[in-house]
Amino acid sequence: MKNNRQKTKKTKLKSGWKPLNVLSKILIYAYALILIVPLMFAVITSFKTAEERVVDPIGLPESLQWSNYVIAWQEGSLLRATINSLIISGGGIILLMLNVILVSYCLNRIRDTKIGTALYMLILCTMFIPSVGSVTTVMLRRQLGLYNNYIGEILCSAVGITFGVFIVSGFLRTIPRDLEEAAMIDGARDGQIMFRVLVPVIKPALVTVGIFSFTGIWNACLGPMLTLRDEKLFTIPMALLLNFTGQFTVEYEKMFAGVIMTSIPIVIIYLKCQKSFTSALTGSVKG
Amino acid sequence: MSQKVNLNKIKLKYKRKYKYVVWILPSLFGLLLLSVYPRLQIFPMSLYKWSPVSSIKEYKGLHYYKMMFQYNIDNTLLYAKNTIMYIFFLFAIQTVLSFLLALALQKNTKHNRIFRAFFFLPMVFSSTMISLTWAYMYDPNLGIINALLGKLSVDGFPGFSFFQKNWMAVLCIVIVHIWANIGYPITILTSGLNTISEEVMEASRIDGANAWQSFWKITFPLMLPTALRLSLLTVSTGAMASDYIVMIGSRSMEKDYDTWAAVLYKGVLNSTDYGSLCAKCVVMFFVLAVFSLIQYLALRKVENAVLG
Repeated sequence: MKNNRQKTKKTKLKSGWKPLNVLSKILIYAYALILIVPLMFAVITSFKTAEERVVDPIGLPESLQWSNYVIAWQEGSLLRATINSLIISGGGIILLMLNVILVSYCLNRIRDTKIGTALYMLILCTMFIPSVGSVTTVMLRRQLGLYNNYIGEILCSAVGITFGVFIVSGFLRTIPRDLEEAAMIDGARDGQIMFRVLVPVIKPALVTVGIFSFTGIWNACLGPMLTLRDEKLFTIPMALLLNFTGQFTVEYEKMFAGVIMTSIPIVIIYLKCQKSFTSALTGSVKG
Repeated sequence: MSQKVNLNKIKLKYKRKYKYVVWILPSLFGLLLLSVYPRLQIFPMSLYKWSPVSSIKEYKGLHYYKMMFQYNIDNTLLYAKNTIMYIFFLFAIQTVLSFLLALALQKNTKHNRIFRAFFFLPMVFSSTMISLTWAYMYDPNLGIINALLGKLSVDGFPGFSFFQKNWMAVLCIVIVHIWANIGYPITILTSGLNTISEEVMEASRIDGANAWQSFWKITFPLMLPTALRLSLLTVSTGAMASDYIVMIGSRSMEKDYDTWAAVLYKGVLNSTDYGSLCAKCVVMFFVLAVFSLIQYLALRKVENAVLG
Protein backbone atom coordinates (compact mmCIF):
# COMPACT_ATOMS: atom_id res chain seq x y z
CA MET A 1 0.00 0.00 0.00
CA LYS A 2 2.65 2.40 1.08
CA ASN A 3 4.86 1.31 -1.71
CA ASN A 4 2.08 1.95 -4.17
CA ARG A 5 1.49 5.47 -2.96
CA GLN A 6 5.15 6.26 -3.24
CA LYS A 7 5.08 5.01 -6.78
CA THR A 8 2.24 7.27 -7.85
CA LYS A 9 3.99 10.21 -6.28
CA LYS A 10 7.10 9.35 -8.19
CA THR A 11 5.33 9.09 -11.56
CA LYS A 12 3.55 12.35 -10.93
CA LEU A 13 6.81 14.09 -10.28
CA LYS A 14 8.32 12.50 -13.33
CA SER A 15 5.50 13.46 -15.65
CA GLY A 16 5.79 17.07 -14.56
CA TRP A 17 9.35 17.32 -15.85
CA LYS A 18 9.24 15.37 -19.07
CA PRO A 19 10.78 17.30 -21.95
CA LEU A 20 7.60 16.62 -23.93
CA ASN A 21 5.49 18.44 -21.38
CA VAL A 22 7.81 21.42 -21.43
CA LEU A 23 7.69 21.46 -25.21
CA SER A 24 3.92 21.36 -25.30
CA LYS A 25 3.71 24.18 -22.76
CA ILE A 26 6.03 26.27 -24.93
CA LEU A 27 3.91 25.52 -27.99
CA ILE A 28 0.69 26.47 -26.22
CA TYR A 29 2.04 29.75 -24.89
CA ALA A 30 3.67 30.66 -28.21
CA TYR A 31 0.42 30.13 -30.06
CA ALA A 32 -1.52 32.03 -27.40
CA LEU A 33 0.85 34.94 -28.00
CA ILE A 34 0.18 34.87 -31.75
CA LEU A 35 -3.52 34.83 -31.00
CA ILE A 36 -3.46 37.70 -28.55
CA VAL A 37 -1.13 40.15 -30.32
CA PRO A 38 -3.53 41.29 -33.08
CA LEU A 39 -6.41 41.56 -30.59
CA MET A 40 -4.25 43.56 -28.19
CA PHE A 41 -3.19 46.02 -30.88
CA ALA A 42 -6.78 46.40 -32.04
CA VAL A 43 -7.72 47.47 -28.50
CA ILE A 44 -4.70 49.76 -28.05
CA THR A 45 -5.17 51.41 -31.42
CA SER A 46 -8.81 52.14 -30.74
CA PHE A 47 -7.76 54.44 -27.88
CA LYS A 48 -5.17 56.45 -29.83
CA THR A 49 -5.42 59.70 -31.72
CA ALA A 50 -4.80 59.53 -35.46
CA GLU A 51 -1.47 61.28 -34.97
CA GLU A 52 -0.27 58.88 -32.30
CA ARG A 53 -1.13 55.96 -34.54
CA VAL A 54 0.91 57.27 -37.46
CA VAL A 55 3.93 58.39 -35.42
CA ASP A 56 4.20 55.39 -33.15
CA PRO A 57 2.00 52.46 -34.17
CA ILE A 58 3.08 50.15 -31.34
CA GLY A 59 3.33 52.56 -28.39
CA LEU A 60 0.66 53.08 -25.78
CA PRO A 61 -1.64 56.10 -26.09
CA GLU A 62 -0.96 59.09 -23.86
CA SER A 63 -4.56 59.35 -22.80
CA LEU A 64 -7.54 57.15 -23.61
CA GLN A 65 -9.50 58.60 -26.53
CA TRP A 66 -13.04 57.55 -25.69
CA SER A 67 -14.18 60.03 -28.29
CA ASN A 68 -13.11 57.51 -30.96
CA TYR A 69 -15.93 55.29 -29.80
CA VAL A 70 -18.49 58.06 -29.93
CA ILE A 71 -17.39 59.16 -33.39
CA ALA A 72 -17.27 55.58 -34.66
CA TRP A 73 -20.80 54.96 -33.39
CA GLN A 74 -22.05 58.01 -35.29
CA GLU A 75 -19.88 58.00 -38.41
CA GLY A 76 -20.27 54.30 -39.00
CA SER A 77 -24.04 54.58 -38.50
CA LEU A 78 -23.65 51.67 -36.12
CA LEU A 79 -27.00 52.22 -34.41
CA ARG A 80 -28.76 51.68 -37.71
CA ALA A 81 -26.52 48.68 -38.42
CA THR A 82 -27.20 47.17 -35.01
CA ILE A 83 -30.95 47.47 -35.50
CA ASN A 84 -30.65 45.89 -38.94
CA SER A 85 -28.51 43.06 -37.60
CA LEU A 86 -30.99 42.44 -34.78
CA ILE A 87 -33.94 42.34 -37.16
CA ILE A 88 -32.26 40.06 -39.69
CA SER A 89 -30.52 37.71 -37.24
CA GLY A 90 -33.44 37.70 -34.80
CA GLY A 91 -36.07 37.04 -37.42
CA GLY A 92 -33.84 34.57 -39.18
CA ILE A 93 -32.98 32.56 -36.11
CA ILE A 94 -36.56 32.36 -34.81
CA LEU A 95 -37.91 31.14 -38.14
CA LEU A 96 -34.98 28.81 -38.61
CA MET A 97 -35.41 27.19 -35.21
CA LEU A 98 -39.16 26.71 -35.69
CA ASN A 99 -38.41 25.24 -39.08
CA VAL A 100 -35.78 22.89 -37.66
CA ILE A 101 -38.02 21.76 -34.80
CA LEU A 102 -40.95 21.10 -37.11
CA VAL A 103 -38.96 19.19 -39.69
CA SER A 104 -37.02 17.14 -37.13
CA TYR A 105 -40.21 16.26 -35.26
CA CYS A 106 -41.99 15.13 -38.40
CA LEU A 107 -38.97 13.21 -39.66
CA ASN A 108 -38.71 11.49 -36.31
CA ARG A 109 -42.34 10.45 -36.54
CA ILE A 110 -41.97 8.87 -39.95
CA ARG A 111 -38.42 7.63 -39.53
CA ASP A 112 -39.43 3.97 -39.84
CA THR A 113 -41.13 4.44 -43.18
CA LYS A 114 -39.42 4.45 -46.55
CA ILE A 115 -40.56 7.94 -47.40
CA GLY A 116 -39.22 9.22 -44.08
CA THR A 117 -35.76 7.81 -44.75
CA ALA A 118 -35.86 9.16 -48.28
CA LEU A 119 -36.76 12.68 -47.10
CA TYR A 120 -34.02 12.58 -44.47
CA MET A 121 -31.44 11.49 -47.02
CA LEU A 122 -32.63 14.18 -49.43
CA ILE A 123 -32.13 16.90 -46.82
CA LEU A 124 -28.70 15.58 -45.85
CA CYS A 125 -27.62 15.27 -49.47
CA THR A 126 -28.00 19.02 -49.96
CA MET A 127 -24.90 19.32 -47.78
CA PHE A 128 -22.81 17.64 -50.43
CA ILE A 129 -23.76 19.81 -53.38
CA PRO A 130 -20.94 22.33 -53.72
CA SER A 131 -22.35 25.74 -52.84
CA VAL A 132 -21.24 27.68 -55.88
CA GLY A 133 -24.56 29.22 -56.81
CA SER A 134 -24.09 32.82 -55.70
CA VAL A 135 -24.60 34.10 -59.26
CA THR A 136 -27.92 32.42 -59.83
CA THR A 137 -29.08 33.02 -56.25
CA VAL A 138 -28.85 36.76 -56.80
CA MET A 139 -30.91 36.49 -59.96
CA LEU A 140 -33.52 34.21 -58.37
CA ARG A 141 -33.93 36.54 -55.42
CA ARG A 142 -34.36 39.53 -57.68
CA GLN A 143 -37.13 37.69 -59.50
CA LEU A 144 -38.87 36.62 -56.30
CA GLY A 145 -38.67 40.06 -54.71
CA LEU A 146 -36.37 38.80 -51.98
CA TYR A 147 -33.62 41.19 -53.04
CA ASN A 148 -32.54 44.23 -51.05
CA ASN A 149 -35.06 43.88 -48.23
CA TYR A 150 -35.33 42.41 -44.74
CA ILE A 151 -37.77 39.67 -45.62
CA GLY A 152 -35.45 38.18 -48.24
CA GLU A 153 -32.52 37.98 -45.85
CA ILE A 154 -34.67 36.49 -43.10
CA LEU A 155 -36.28 33.88 -45.36
CA CYS A 156 -33.01 32.87 -46.94
CA SER A 157 -31.35 32.31 -43.58
CA ALA A 158 -34.41 30.39 -42.36
CA VAL A 159 -34.32 27.75 -45.10
CA GLY A 160 -30.82 26.48 -44.28
CA ILE A 161 -32.05 23.69 -42.03
CA THR A 162 -29.64 20.94 -43.02
CA PHE A 163 -27.17 21.23 -40.15
CA GLY A 164 -29.92 21.79 -37.58
CA VAL A 165 -32.01 18.86 -38.74
CA PHE A 166 -28.93 16.65 -38.70
CA ILE A 167 -28.14 17.49 -35.06
CA VAL A 168 -31.69 17.70 -33.68
CA SER A 169 -33.11 14.59 -35.30
CA GLY A 170 -30.00 12.72 -34.20
CA PHE A 171 -30.85 13.79 -30.66
CA LEU A 172 -34.54 12.91 -31.04
CA ARG A 173 -33.61 9.37 -32.04
CA THR A 174 -32.14 8.80 -28.58
CA ILE A 175 -35.40 9.71 -26.84
CA PRO A 176 -37.71 6.76 -26.15
CA ARG A 177 -40.98 6.66 -28.03
CA ASP A 178 -42.83 6.03 -24.76
CA LEU A 179 -42.56 9.67 -23.87
CA GLU A 180 -44.53 10.77 -26.92
CA GLU A 181 -47.01 7.92 -26.62
CA ALA A 182 -47.70 8.76 -22.99
CA ALA A 183 -48.40 12.35 -23.96
CA MET A 184 -50.70 11.14 -26.71
CA ILE A 185 -52.68 8.96 -24.35
CA ASP A 186 -53.14 12.04 -22.18
CA GLY A 187 -54.71 13.67 -25.21
CA ALA A 188 -51.89 15.95 -26.29
CA ARG A 189 -51.90 17.11 -29.88
CA ASP A 190 -48.87 17.32 -32.13
CA GLY A 191 -48.15 20.94 -31.32
CA GLN A 192 -48.29 20.24 -27.60
CA ILE A 193 -46.09 17.17 -27.87
CA MET A 194 -43.58 19.12 -29.90
CA PHE A 195 -43.29 22.21 -27.73
CA ARG A 196 -44.38 21.06 -24.26
CA VAL A 197 -42.90 17.59 -24.14
CA LEU A 198 -40.04 17.29 -26.58
CA VAL A 199 -38.53 20.77 -26.70
CA PRO A 200 -37.57 20.77 -23.00
CA VAL A 201 -35.93 17.37 -23.42
CA ILE A 202 -33.90 18.25 -26.51
CA LYS A 203 -32.98 21.70 -25.24
CA PRO A 204 -29.20 21.07 -25.27
CA ALA A 205 -29.29 20.22 -28.97
CA LEU A 206 -31.50 23.22 -29.72
CA VAL A 207 -29.21 25.61 -27.84
CA THR A 208 -26.25 24.23 -29.73
CA VAL A 209 -27.87 24.63 -33.12
CA GLY A 210 -29.33 28.01 -32.18
CA ILE A 211 -26.09 29.58 -31.04
CA PHE A 212 -24.18 28.22 -33.96
CA SER A 213 -26.67 29.37 -36.56
CA PHE A 214 -27.07 32.72 -34.87
CA THR A 215 -23.37 33.55 -35.01
CA GLY A 216 -23.37 32.42 -38.62
CA ILE A 217 -26.16 34.81 -39.60
CA TRP A 218 -24.88 37.61 -37.37
CA ASN A 219 -21.36 37.48 -38.82
CA ALA A 220 -22.29 36.99 -42.47
CA CYS A 221 -20.86 39.75 -44.60
CA LEU A 222 -19.97 38.80 -48.15
CA GLY A 223 -23.28 37.04 -48.78
CA PRO A 224 -25.50 39.94 -47.64
CA MET A 225 -23.25 42.35 -49.53
CA LEU A 226 -24.54 40.80 -52.75
CA THR A 227 -28.19 41.13 -51.86
CA LEU A 228 -28.44 44.18 -49.58
CA ARG A 229 -27.38 47.11 -51.73
CA ASP A 230 -29.20 49.85 -49.84
CA GLU A 231 -26.99 51.61 -47.28
CA LYS A 232 -29.90 51.78 -44.85
CA LEU A 233 -30.04 47.99 -44.71
CA PHE A 234 -26.36 47.34 -43.92
CA THR A 235 -25.71 44.91 -41.09
CA ILE A 236 -22.90 45.40 -38.58
CA PRO A 237 -20.14 43.57 -40.48
CA MET A 238 -21.03 45.41 -43.67
CA ALA A 239 -21.07 48.78 -41.93
CA LEU A 240 -17.65 48.07 -40.43
CA LEU A 241 -16.22 47.09 -43.77
CA LEU A 242 -17.73 49.83 -45.89
CA ASN A 243 -18.20 52.88 -43.65
CA PHE A 244 -14.65 53.35 -42.37
CA THR A 245 -12.66 52.94 -45.54
CA GLY A 246 -12.23 56.02 -47.69
CA GLN A 247 -10.82 55.87 -51.17
CA PHE A 248 -7.22 56.26 -50.04
CA THR A 249 -7.19 56.17 -46.27
CA VAL A 250 -8.50 54.01 -43.51
CA GLU A 251 -9.32 55.58 -40.17
CA TYR A 252 -7.99 52.64 -38.23
CA GLU A 253 -8.50 54.04 -34.73
CA LYS A 254 -12.18 54.70 -35.31
CA MET A 255 -12.63 51.49 -37.22
CA PHE A 256 -11.18 49.49 -34.34
CA ALA A 257 -13.39 51.34 -31.88
CA GLY A 258 -16.33 50.18 -33.98
CA VAL A 259 -14.94 46.67 -34.29
CA ILE A 260 -14.47 46.33 -30.54
CA MET A 261 -17.85 47.76 -29.64
CA THR A 262 -19.63 45.34 -31.95
CA SER A 263 -17.52 42.31 -31.00
CA ILE A 264 -18.05 42.53 -27.25
CA PRO A 265 -21.64 41.16 -27.26
CA ILE A 266 -20.64 38.12 -29.28
CA VAL A 267 -17.66 37.46 -26.98
CA ILE A 268 -19.99 37.57 -23.98
CA ILE A 269 -22.37 35.12 -25.66
CA TYR A 270 -19.42 32.87 -26.40
CA LEU A 271 -18.12 32.93 -22.83
CA LYS A 272 -21.60 32.08 -21.53
CA CYS A 273 -22.29 29.23 -23.91
CA GLN A 274 -18.80 27.99 -24.66
CA LYS A 275 -19.73 24.34 -24.07
CA SER A 276 -22.50 24.43 -26.63
CA PHE A 277 -20.14 25.65 -29.31
CA THR A 278 -17.67 22.84 -28.86
CA SER A 279 -20.32 20.14 -28.46
CA ALA A 280 -21.90 21.29 -31.72
CA LEU A 281 -18.62 20.71 -33.50
CA THR A 282 -17.77 17.33 -32.03
CA GLY A 283 -21.35 16.20 -32.65
CA SER A 284 -21.27 17.25 -36.26
CA VAL A 285 -18.22 15.18 -37.06
CA LYS A 286 -18.84 12.10 -34.98
CA GLY A 287 -22.49 11.63 -35.86
CA MET B 1 -63.48 -0.84 -21.77
CA SER B 2 -63.78 2.71 -22.97
CA GLN B 3 -60.16 3.27 -22.18
CA LYS B 4 -59.19 0.40 -24.41
CA VAL B 5 -61.16 1.84 -27.30
CA ASN B 6 -59.47 5.14 -26.69
CA LEU B 7 -56.07 3.49 -26.77
CA ASN B 8 -56.81 1.82 -30.09
CA LYS B 9 -57.96 5.11 -31.51
CA ILE B 10 -54.70 6.72 -30.48
CA LYS B 11 -52.69 3.93 -32.00
CA LEU B 12 -54.56 4.42 -35.22
CA LYS B 13 -53.90 8.12 -35.10
CA TYR B 14 -50.29 7.44 -34.43
CA LYS B 15 -50.05 5.27 -37.47
CA ARG B 16 -51.43 7.90 -39.79
CA LYS B 17 -48.19 9.28 -40.99
CA TYR B 18 -48.95 10.99 -44.22
CA LYS B 19 -49.75 14.25 -42.48
CA TYR B 20 -46.17 14.54 -41.24
CA VAL B 21 -44.95 14.25 -44.79
CA VAL B 22 -47.28 17.08 -45.76
CA TRP B 23 -45.99 19.22 -42.91
CA ILE B 24 -42.43 18.83 -44.06
CA LEU B 25 -43.17 19.83 -47.62
CA PRO B 26 -43.16 23.65 -47.20
CA SER B 27 -39.77 23.59 -45.46
CA LEU B 28 -38.41 21.19 -48.02
CA PHE B 29 -39.73 23.36 -50.82
CA GLY B 30 -38.02 26.42 -49.32
CA LEU B 31 -34.73 24.58 -48.98
CA LEU B 32 -34.83 23.23 -52.51
CA LEU B 33 -35.96 26.48 -54.09
CA LEU B 34 -33.72 29.00 -52.34
CA SER B 35 -30.68 26.91 -51.62
CA VAL B 36 -30.41 23.92 -53.95
CA TYR B 37 -32.06 25.09 -57.17
CA PRO B 38 -29.64 28.03 -57.76
CA ARG B 39 -26.68 25.69 -57.35
CA LEU B 40 -27.97 23.49 -60.15
CA GLN B 41 -29.19 26.34 -62.31
CA ILE B 42 -25.59 27.33 -63.05
CA PHE B 43 -25.42 24.49 -65.58
CA PRO B 44 -28.02 25.73 -68.07
CA MET B 45 -27.29 29.40 -67.39
CA SER B 46 -23.63 29.01 -68.34
CA LEU B 47 -24.72 28.53 -71.96
CA TYR B 48 -26.33 31.98 -72.24
CA LYS B 49 -25.14 35.53 -72.32
CA TRP B 50 -27.23 37.27 -69.70
CA SER B 51 -27.09 39.81 -66.93
CA PRO B 52 -29.20 40.22 -63.80
CA VAL B 53 -30.54 43.63 -64.77
CA SER B 54 -31.90 42.90 -68.23
CA SER B 55 -34.23 40.19 -69.42
CA ILE B 56 -32.39 39.52 -72.68
CA LYS B 57 -30.92 36.04 -72.91
CA GLU B 58 -28.75 35.12 -75.84
CA TYR B 59 -27.77 31.52 -76.50
CA LYS B 60 -23.99 31.19 -76.73
CA GLY B 61 -23.42 27.46 -76.47
CA LEU B 62 -20.03 26.59 -75.10
CA HIS B 63 -18.62 30.02 -75.88
CA TYR B 64 -17.72 30.85 -72.28
CA TYR B 65 -15.95 27.56 -71.74
CA LYS B 66 -13.91 28.19 -74.88
CA MET B 67 -13.10 31.67 -73.61
CA MET B 68 -11.89 30.25 -70.32
CA PHE B 69 -9.72 27.51 -71.77
CA GLN B 70 -8.47 29.16 -74.98
CA TYR B 71 -8.30 32.94 -74.97
CA ASN B 72 -8.12 33.51 -71.23
CA ILE B 73 -6.11 30.45 -70.41
CA ASP B 74 -3.42 32.53 -68.68
CA ASN B 75 -5.86 34.01 -66.20
CA THR B 76 -7.57 30.70 -65.69
CA LEU B 77 -4.28 29.03 -64.87
CA LEU B 78 -3.22 31.87 -62.58
CA TYR B 79 -6.41 31.61 -60.53
CA ALA B 80 -6.14 27.86 -60.45
CA LYS B 81 -2.54 28.14 -59.27
CA ASN B 82 -3.52 30.58 -56.51
CA THR B 83 -6.33 28.32 -55.40
CA ILE B 84 -4.04 25.30 -55.27
CA MET B 85 -1.48 27.31 -53.30
CA TYR B 86 -4.18 28.43 -50.90
CA ILE B 87 -5.37 24.87 -50.35
CA PHE B 88 -1.82 23.58 -50.01
CA PHE B 89 -0.73 26.17 -47.43
CA LEU B 90 -3.97 25.84 -45.51
CA PHE B 91 -3.82 22.07 -45.49
CA ALA B 92 -0.13 21.75 -44.62
CA ILE B 93 0.06 24.39 -41.91
CA GLN B 94 -3.32 23.86 -40.32
CA THR B 95 -3.05 20.07 -40.17
CA VAL B 96 0.39 20.05 -38.55
CA LEU B 97 -0.28 22.95 -36.20
CA SER B 98 -3.68 21.72 -35.06
CA PHE B 99 -2.36 18.21 -34.48
CA LEU B 100 0.53 19.50 -32.39
CA LEU B 101 -1.71 21.82 -30.39
CA ALA B 102 -4.28 19.07 -29.87
CA LEU B 103 -1.57 16.74 -28.54
CA ALA B 104 -0.31 19.50 -26.27
CA LEU B 105 -3.81 20.26 -25.00
CA GLN B 106 -4.94 16.65 -24.80
CA LYS B 107 -5.03 16.24 -21.00
CA ASN B 108 -8.26 17.47 -19.52
CA THR B 109 -6.80 19.83 -16.93
CA LYS B 110 -8.22 23.23 -16.08
CA HIS B 111 -5.24 24.96 -17.68
CA ASN B 112 -5.82 23.12 -20.95
CA ARG B 113 -9.56 23.74 -20.95
CA ILE B 114 -8.99 27.47 -20.62
CA PHE B 115 -6.53 27.50 -23.50
CA ARG B 116 -8.81 25.36 -25.67
CA ALA B 117 -11.60 27.86 -25.10
CA PHE B 118 -9.22 30.70 -25.87
CA PHE B 119 -7.97 29.17 -29.12
CA PHE B 120 -11.57 28.70 -30.17
CA LEU B 121 -12.45 32.34 -29.53
CA PRO B 122 -11.66 33.80 -33.01
CA MET B 123 -14.25 31.45 -34.50
CA VAL B 124 -17.03 33.61 -33.09
CA PHE B 125 -15.63 36.81 -34.57
CA SER B 126 -16.92 37.87 -37.94
CA SER B 127 -14.55 37.48 -40.84
CA THR B 128 -14.90 41.23 -41.33
CA MET B 129 -13.56 41.97 -37.89
CA ILE B 130 -10.68 39.54 -38.39
CA SER B 131 -9.84 40.88 -41.84
CA LEU B 132 -9.82 44.49 -40.66
CA THR B 133 -7.55 43.63 -37.74
CA TRP B 134 -5.11 41.72 -39.90
CA ALA B 135 -5.16 44.25 -42.69
CA TYR B 136 -3.75 46.65 -40.10
CA MET B 137 -1.14 44.11 -39.01
CA TYR B 138 0.06 43.65 -42.58
CA ASP B 139 -0.21 47.29 -43.72
CA PRO B 140 3.11 48.08 -45.46
CA ASN B 141 3.49 51.64 -44.20
CA LEU B 142 1.73 51.92 -40.88
CA GLY B 143 1.23 48.27 -40.02
CA ILE B 144 2.03 46.63 -36.72
CA ILE B 145 4.23 43.80 -37.99
CA ASN B 146 6.43 46.24 -39.89
CA ALA B 147 6.62 48.51 -36.88
CA LEU B 148 7.57 45.65 -34.57
CA LEU B 149 10.23 44.34 -36.91
CA GLY B 150 11.47 47.91 -37.39
CA LYS B 151 11.84 48.25 -33.62
CA LEU B 152 13.97 45.13 -33.64
CA SER B 153 15.92 46.84 -36.48
CA VAL B 154 15.49 44.07 -39.02
CA ASP B 155 16.68 45.17 -42.45
CA GLY B 156 14.06 46.39 -44.88
CA PHE B 157 11.44 47.15 -42.24
CA PRO B 158 9.34 49.23 -42.10
CA GLY B 159 8.05 49.66 -45.60
CA PHE B 160 8.09 45.95 -46.39
CA SER B 161 5.14 44.81 -48.44
CA PHE B 162 3.84 41.41 -47.47
CA PHE B 163 1.82 41.15 -50.65
CA GLN B 164 4.55 41.76 -53.22
CA LYS B 165 4.71 38.19 -54.47
CA ASN B 166 1.87 35.83 -55.23
CA TRP B 167 2.88 33.10 -52.87
CA MET B 168 3.63 35.51 -50.04
CA ALA B 169 0.26 37.17 -50.34
CA VAL B 170 -1.53 33.83 -50.37
CA LEU B 171 0.54 32.60 -47.43
CA CYS B 172 -0.20 35.74 -45.40
CA ILE B 173 -3.91 35.40 -46.06
CA VAL B 174 -3.86 31.70 -45.24
CA ILE B 175 -2.22 32.54 -41.90
CA VAL B 176 -5.21 34.74 -41.13
CA HIS B 177 -7.58 31.97 -42.17
CA ILE B 178 -5.84 29.54 -39.82
CA TRP B 179 -5.66 32.08 -37.02
CA ALA B 180 -9.42 32.45 -37.26
CA ASN B 181 -10.40 28.80 -37.63
CA ILE B 182 -7.91 26.63 -35.77
CA GLY B 183 -10.31 26.18 -32.86
CA TYR B 184 -12.35 23.82 -34.99
CA PRO B 185 -9.69 21.18 -35.79
CA ILE B 186 -8.27 21.45 -32.27
CA THR B 187 -11.68 20.71 -30.75
CA ILE B 188 -12.28 17.75 -33.04
CA LEU B 189 -8.81 16.30 -32.60
CA THR B 190 -8.69 16.64 -28.80
CA SER B 191 -12.05 14.95 -28.47
CA GLY B 192 -10.78 12.24 -30.81
CA LEU B 193 -7.57 11.82 -28.83
CA ASN B 194 -9.52 11.50 -25.61
CA THR B 195 -11.50 8.57 -26.97
CA ILE B 196 -8.32 6.51 -27.34
CA SER B 197 -8.53 4.39 -24.26
CA GLU B 198 -6.01 4.89 -21.52
CA GLU B 199 -5.61 1.10 -21.23
CA VAL B 200 -4.14 0.77 -24.70
CA MET B 201 -1.59 3.46 -23.97
CA GLU B 202 -0.84 1.88 -20.59
CA ALA B 203 -0.32 -1.49 -22.23
CA SER B 204 2.11 -0.06 -24.73
CA ARG B 205 4.00 1.66 -21.93
CA ILE B 206 4.28 -1.61 -20.03
CA ASP B 207 5.57 -3.27 -23.18
CA GLY B 208 8.34 -0.71 -23.15
CA ALA B 209 7.29 1.66 -25.93
CA ASN B 210 8.49 5.23 -25.59
CA ALA B 211 6.32 8.25 -26.33
CA TRP B 212 7.53 8.46 -29.92
CA GLN B 213 6.76 4.82 -30.66
CA SER B 214 3.36 4.83 -29.03
CA PHE B 215 2.45 7.95 -30.99
CA TRP B 216 3.29 6.43 -34.36
CA LYS B 217 2.03 2.94 -33.58
CA ILE B 218 -1.17 3.75 -31.66
CA THR B 219 -2.26 7.36 -31.64
CA PHE B 220 -1.56 8.12 -35.27
CA PRO B 221 -3.35 5.17 -36.89
CA LEU B 222 -6.33 5.51 -34.56
CA MET B 223 -6.62 9.19 -35.35
CA LEU B 224 -6.24 8.72 -39.08
CA PRO B 225 -9.97 8.52 -39.93
CA THR B 226 -10.71 11.68 -37.92
CA ALA B 227 -7.76 13.45 -39.47
CA LEU B 228 -8.87 12.47 -42.94
CA ARG B 229 -12.39 13.65 -42.31
CA LEU B 230 -10.97 16.95 -41.15
CA SER B 231 -8.75 17.17 -44.20
CA LEU B 232 -11.77 16.70 -46.45
CA LEU B 233 -13.27 19.71 -44.76
CA THR B 234 -10.05 21.71 -44.91
CA VAL B 235 -9.62 21.13 -48.62
CA SER B 236 -13.19 22.05 -49.47
CA THR B 237 -13.20 25.17 -47.28
CA GLY B 238 -9.84 26.13 -48.79
CA ALA B 239 -11.20 25.72 -52.29
CA MET B 240 -14.26 27.83 -51.53
CA ALA B 241 -12.62 30.43 -49.27
CA SER B 242 -13.06 33.96 -50.50
CA ASP B 243 -13.70 36.01 -47.35
CA TYR B 244 -10.16 36.87 -46.39
CA ILE B 245 -8.86 37.19 -49.95
CA VAL B 246 -11.60 39.64 -50.85
CA MET B 247 -11.48 41.67 -47.65
CA ILE B 248 -7.75 41.79 -46.89
CA GLY B 249 -6.63 41.70 -50.50
CA SER B 250 -8.83 44.62 -51.49
CA ARG B 251 -6.52 46.91 -49.54
CA SER B 252 -3.57 46.48 -51.83
CA MET B 253 -3.49 47.46 -55.46
CA GLU B 254 -2.40 44.23 -57.08
CA LYS B 255 -5.03 41.59 -57.57
CA ASP B 256 -2.79 38.84 -58.86
CA TYR B 257 -3.38 36.51 -55.98
CA ASP B 258 -7.12 36.06 -56.29
CA THR B 259 -8.30 32.51 -55.88
CA TRP B 260 -11.02 31.02 -58.01
CA ALA B 261 -13.68 31.69 -55.36
CA ALA B 262 -12.56 35.30 -54.89
CA VAL B 263 -12.74 35.95 -58.63
CA LEU B 264 -16.26 34.57 -58.66
CA TYR B 265 -17.34 36.69 -55.73
CA LYS B 266 -15.91 39.88 -57.17
CA GLY B 267 -17.54 39.02 -60.47
CA VAL B 268 -20.98 38.79 -58.91
CA LEU B 269 -20.37 42.12 -57.20
CA ASN B 270 -18.97 44.05 -60.14
CA SER B 271 -19.50 42.46 -63.53
CA THR B 272 -22.69 42.08 -65.52
CA ASP B 273 -21.48 39.21 -67.65
CA TYR B 274 -23.16 36.53 -65.59
CA GLY B 275 -22.94 33.82 -68.22
CA SER B 276 -19.19 33.66 -67.95
CA LEU B 277 -19.45 33.58 -64.16
CA CYS B 278 -21.79 30.62 -64.38
CA ALA B 279 -19.28 28.80 -66.56
CA LYS B 280 -16.63 29.40 -63.88
CA CYS B 281 -19.06 28.11 -61.27
CA VAL B 282 -19.57 24.93 -63.26
CA VAL B 283 -15.83 24.29 -63.45
CA MET B 284 -15.52 24.88 -59.71
CA PHE B 285 -18.48 22.61 -59.06
CA PHE B 286 -16.78 19.70 -60.80
CA VAL B 287 -13.42 20.32 -59.17
CA LEU B 288 -15.02 20.34 -55.72
CA ALA B 289 -17.07 17.26 -56.50
CA VAL B 290 -13.97 15.37 -57.63
CA PHE B 291 -12.06 16.48 -54.52
CA SER B 292 -14.85 15.19 -52.28
CA LEU B 293 -15.03 11.90 -54.14
CA ILE B 294 -11.28 11.27 -53.85
CA GLN B 295 -11.29 12.10 -50.18
CA TYR B 296 -14.35 9.98 -49.55
CA LEU B 297 -12.80 6.95 -51.21
CA ALA B 298 -9.55 7.44 -49.31
CA LEU B 299 -11.50 7.72 -46.09
CA ARG B 300 -13.37 4.48 -46.73
CA LYS B 301 -10.13 2.67 -47.45
CA VAL B 302 -8.42 3.92 -44.31
CA GLU B 303 -11.42 3.23 -42.12
CA ASN B 304 -11.59 -0.32 -43.41
CA ALA B 305 -7.87 -0.77 -42.82
CA VAL B 306 -7.96 0.59 -39.28
CA LEU B 307 -11.18 -0.92 -38.06
CA GLY B 308 -10.47 -4.31 -39.57
